[in-house]
Amino acid sequence: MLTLRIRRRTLLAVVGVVAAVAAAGGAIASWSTSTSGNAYSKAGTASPLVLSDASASTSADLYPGADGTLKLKVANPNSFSVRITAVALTSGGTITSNVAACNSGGTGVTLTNQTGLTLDLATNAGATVFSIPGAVHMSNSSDTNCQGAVFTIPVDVTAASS
Amino acid sequence: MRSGIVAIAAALVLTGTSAAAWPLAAAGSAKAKAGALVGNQPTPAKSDAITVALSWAATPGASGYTIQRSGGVGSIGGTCTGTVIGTSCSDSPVVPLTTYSYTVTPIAGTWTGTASAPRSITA
Repeated sequence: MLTLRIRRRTLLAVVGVVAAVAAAGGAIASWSTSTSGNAYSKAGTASPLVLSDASASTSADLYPGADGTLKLKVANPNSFSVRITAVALTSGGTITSNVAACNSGGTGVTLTNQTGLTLDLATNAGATVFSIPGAVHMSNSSDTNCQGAVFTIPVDVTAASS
Repeated sequence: MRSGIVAIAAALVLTGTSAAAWPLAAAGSAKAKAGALVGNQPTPAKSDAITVALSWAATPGASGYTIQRSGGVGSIGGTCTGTVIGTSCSDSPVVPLTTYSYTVTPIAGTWTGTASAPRSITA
């Protein structure tokens, strides 16, 4: 009798958990798939992060044979906070500079793809500059005309809601 | 039976947790900026009758320096010849009562920086 009562209680508790999770899952599902313009889809539609020009905030710290800092200027237009977890060179992308002679002579600049980052952006955060030290490397073969140049590095940014 | 129900519930909870992390991706560009090498003016001093000692402040990013000399005859000598690693060297021999002018140019890899302003000394 006692065993039966415990089993009933356990079963009810499990049913309760399942119902709660199912309800949550339903809400999340309508976030991700609805495009009909109802209240749920408006609140839950994910907009891509916005990457913009970070050259104004770029400090000069890249020299031949040394690592430098990558500057990432990104905004979060979403109504939820996000965490950037990875930054990688766009597949097939080329790093260029604002100095033609540097590009023709060879920038010598490479990006080390970054994973495991914890760069947090608040809900509806405006353009925010993140610095990732040591992400960029300049080889000793970098052309002398690259002095003072600003390098544009095409990247793919991976993030998740947090 | 009970362990089976608990396992199902745990799996559902885990599913709910992972669904909460909304994946986002963006493509764009990041920036990095190169420095520029600018030499710092040397401080020359007579260390003996035929030697001028030079020292200068380090230039960020430089891996070495070349020293240029004008005035007198001949070319720079001593430890100031070729690429100098460090921020001091001695030019020898020099001719007494001759005025020499020195500049310092930082280098790094294939980069050659801007020479410093000259500074003179009479040996």
